[in-house]
Amino acid sequence: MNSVKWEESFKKASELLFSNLKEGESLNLNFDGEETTFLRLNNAKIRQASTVEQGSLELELHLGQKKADFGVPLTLNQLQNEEVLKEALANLQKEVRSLPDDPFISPLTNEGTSRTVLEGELPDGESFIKAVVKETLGADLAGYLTTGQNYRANANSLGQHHWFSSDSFFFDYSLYTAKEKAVKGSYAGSHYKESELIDSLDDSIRALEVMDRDQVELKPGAYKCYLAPSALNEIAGLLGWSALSGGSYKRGDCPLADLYEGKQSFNSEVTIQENFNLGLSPRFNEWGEVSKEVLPLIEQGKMKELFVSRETANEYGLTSNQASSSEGPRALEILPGNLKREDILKEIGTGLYLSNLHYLNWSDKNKGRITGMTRFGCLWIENGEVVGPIKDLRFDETLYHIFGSGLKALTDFSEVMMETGTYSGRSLGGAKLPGMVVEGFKFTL
Amino acid sequence: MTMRANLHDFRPILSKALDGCDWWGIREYRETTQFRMARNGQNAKNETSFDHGVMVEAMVAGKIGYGATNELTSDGIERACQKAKTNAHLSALSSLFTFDPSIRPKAVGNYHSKFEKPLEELAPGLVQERLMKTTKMMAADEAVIEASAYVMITETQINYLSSNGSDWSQTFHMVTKDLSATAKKGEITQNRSLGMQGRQWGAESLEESQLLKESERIVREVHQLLVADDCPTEKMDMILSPDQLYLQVHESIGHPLELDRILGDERNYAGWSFVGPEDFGSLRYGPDILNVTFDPGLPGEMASYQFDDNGVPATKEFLIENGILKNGIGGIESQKRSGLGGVSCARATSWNRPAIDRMGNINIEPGESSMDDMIKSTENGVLMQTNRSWSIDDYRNKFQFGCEYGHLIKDGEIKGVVKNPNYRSSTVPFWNSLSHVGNGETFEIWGSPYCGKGEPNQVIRVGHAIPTCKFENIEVFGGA
Repeated sequence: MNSVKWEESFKKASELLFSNLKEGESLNLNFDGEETTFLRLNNAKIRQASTVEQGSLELELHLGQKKADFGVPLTLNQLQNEEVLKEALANLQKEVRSLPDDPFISPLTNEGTSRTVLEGELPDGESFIKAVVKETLGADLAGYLTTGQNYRANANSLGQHHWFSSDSFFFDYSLYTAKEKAVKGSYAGSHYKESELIDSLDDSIRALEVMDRDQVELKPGAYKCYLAPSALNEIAGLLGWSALSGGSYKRGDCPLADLYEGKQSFNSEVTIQENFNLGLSPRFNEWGEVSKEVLPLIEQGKMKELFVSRETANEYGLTSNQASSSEGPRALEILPGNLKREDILKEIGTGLYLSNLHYLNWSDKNKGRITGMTRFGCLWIENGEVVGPIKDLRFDETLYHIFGSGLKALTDFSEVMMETGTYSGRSLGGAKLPGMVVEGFKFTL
Repeated sequence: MTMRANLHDFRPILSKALDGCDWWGIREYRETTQFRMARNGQNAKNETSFDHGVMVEAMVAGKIGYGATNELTSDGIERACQKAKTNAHLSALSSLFTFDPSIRPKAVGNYHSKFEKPLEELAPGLVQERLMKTTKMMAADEAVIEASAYVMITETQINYLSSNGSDWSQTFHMVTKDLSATAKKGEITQNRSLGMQGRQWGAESLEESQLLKESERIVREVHQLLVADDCPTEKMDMILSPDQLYLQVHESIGHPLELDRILGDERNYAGWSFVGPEDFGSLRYGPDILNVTFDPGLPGEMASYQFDDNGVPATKEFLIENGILKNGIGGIESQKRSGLGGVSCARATSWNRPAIDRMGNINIEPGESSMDDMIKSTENGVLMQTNRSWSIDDYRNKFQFGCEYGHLIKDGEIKGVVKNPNYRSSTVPFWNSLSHVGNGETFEIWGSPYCGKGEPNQVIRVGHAIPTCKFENIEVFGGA
């Protein structure tokens, strides 16, 4: 593992840049790095195998009420780094002096130091692919393994310094019947065990059996639904799209504005919080501010707090709660309820068991209304018994109905879902969510 | 940033490290993006990112392995070569398909995107000043609670070398911009924007007079929305402007025609397709007036280029001709795997990802109808402009879109403005309800820098040049 070498590269880059600052300047640095192998599979065979070694450093230069950012590659080669960083800083020093003032800049502060190193045991590609081939013999599997080391760091010229590194992997996959019905599977963590991979695949293969039954085609209408944690995860993802942002609220762009203003409420069983004890992402944000371990957002159906970053706080006279600049969740948790796993089908009675949702978007953002599709592993239930897989349906429903008037039960168990996004680089974070039963969930197409 | 690495200097290292491979190639990707934003007359963001790295591809016994790094030193390149070879050997344990070096034909040449004025004219302070002025004008309106403007200026260079003599280079200058005003009156909040315009162009994209003119229109229209009725909920005719129709084409024609989706590569993430191999040459996607092309040669579109990232020369091809499905959107690898016709569209988001099938420029060829023809032929309908919401299923059938701004049309005349216009339908019935394709006067270039797919995930720029079109008897509805 090259964690020590990357940490050294970051340290040397910081020293070089801080020693070249001019009078009145201060500098904030954020580092993202990774060494990742991706094995992309189709028909349980390798479509593309790639390995990426990359690092990037973002320089945020302050000069009075002026600020500018410059992102550059950071590598394990100090000579390359030195050349790139000196040029980047010189560019930034020139640019920042050409810009008008930004009235809402917060000066940098020293928020202390921290160091987190999460070591694990990662799968090797050869044994992994052999196990997948053996276990899925004759089955149709698509998906990808992502495995490797992730690095995040922050430092500023006032002496602040944070380092975070983690070994982790995820195998995000789906299995298909001959009639193109599918179930989703996932095996993720930091300590890989082949036996756990095999258990995950076996569970998915068993779940696939029911998908082979005759398809049920439902008419649009309102149905009672169970949203499994993985389905709720899609809705939770949309909450990160300005619904919990203090800045969005002030800009007239917050879908949960009516909840914040007390004009609407969620069911009193609903408590939503940011919980860094999940250990999925660093607690420090891009300015090195360390968040509370647990930040209540919605308590017993009432909005308690929105995410407020230092920039939003400065602009609107609010108090920062150490949110990131995007003011979205990094470790979202919805607390569980009382519904036992074995009672889920009985609670549905006649309705839908939704394992996954797909392609959600706001359909009336100001009113908290969302649309999206059913996807993997969605079943029609009659009198507490599984009938068969459904033909995909489009839903269009408000968050106030889903978490409010329509909510009938939350499960007494939760599942942790690791973030599997890999746009430009691996994302960190995740969510811990229960399942929930919602009555009168509206489907339109 | 100064260009220091020269790909040719690494040729001896590549030849030595990849000795014994069937074929090897290296793709260097270097990109500088400036993101500048102003809000309510104030300077808000000035961020520049410089990204530079290489992807090494090594083919061993017909399997390709990939190794990527942004350490552009002999050691870094050698490590990337070793990883590429390791991954090629790993693929041999259970590979989906065996290729041969013909999937990376020799390509030599240079491409530079067109522009009128060089991007160097856009100094940081000047750009920020224009954005501030624009938002100050919008924010001066008493109903406007948030006015914003951003611009993303991107310069990309791709260089490529291979063991079979490929040596090409492509340079792209792109600008994406948007203006937006959110206004509030009582309990009503509405937003109107430019709709994210992205093109290959130069400094001419940010003329101050044009920005101010667009700002005036945006403020005028957001005021109309504050007092407008909701869009009615009923089946009616619908005219879609290019700033909405481009995304309709993207989601319900572009994605389902991607051969890697049809082959199942994307099933776990972006999705599959309702289109099957048997549909090419026979599926009636729309009426005779529907002609859809892959056109990498239209100057100004986001994805105009000379070669795709596999080095295959890019040419204009019909995907749908006179309403019949002809070709898929698949690069040379997908064409070999499927036996279907395709286009030169294998592209990677950057140096750190392998190339996969991407849309490029997917256009509707202009038809013969004028805007006046479309309106006059509408007894009961709505004209929708500027996308604000989009969603479609993983087979690309059932979709729902929402727009910022609508006009009711009654008895062949435009009536009042309506807010929250939305519609939903399914792909093939929808395109077969197409009754008019606008002429060249209605034809506009749009596109997006944010098309996402792939595992690992990749975002890419796509272009869509589209005329205004009319559809009949569509399910239209308003707000909550």
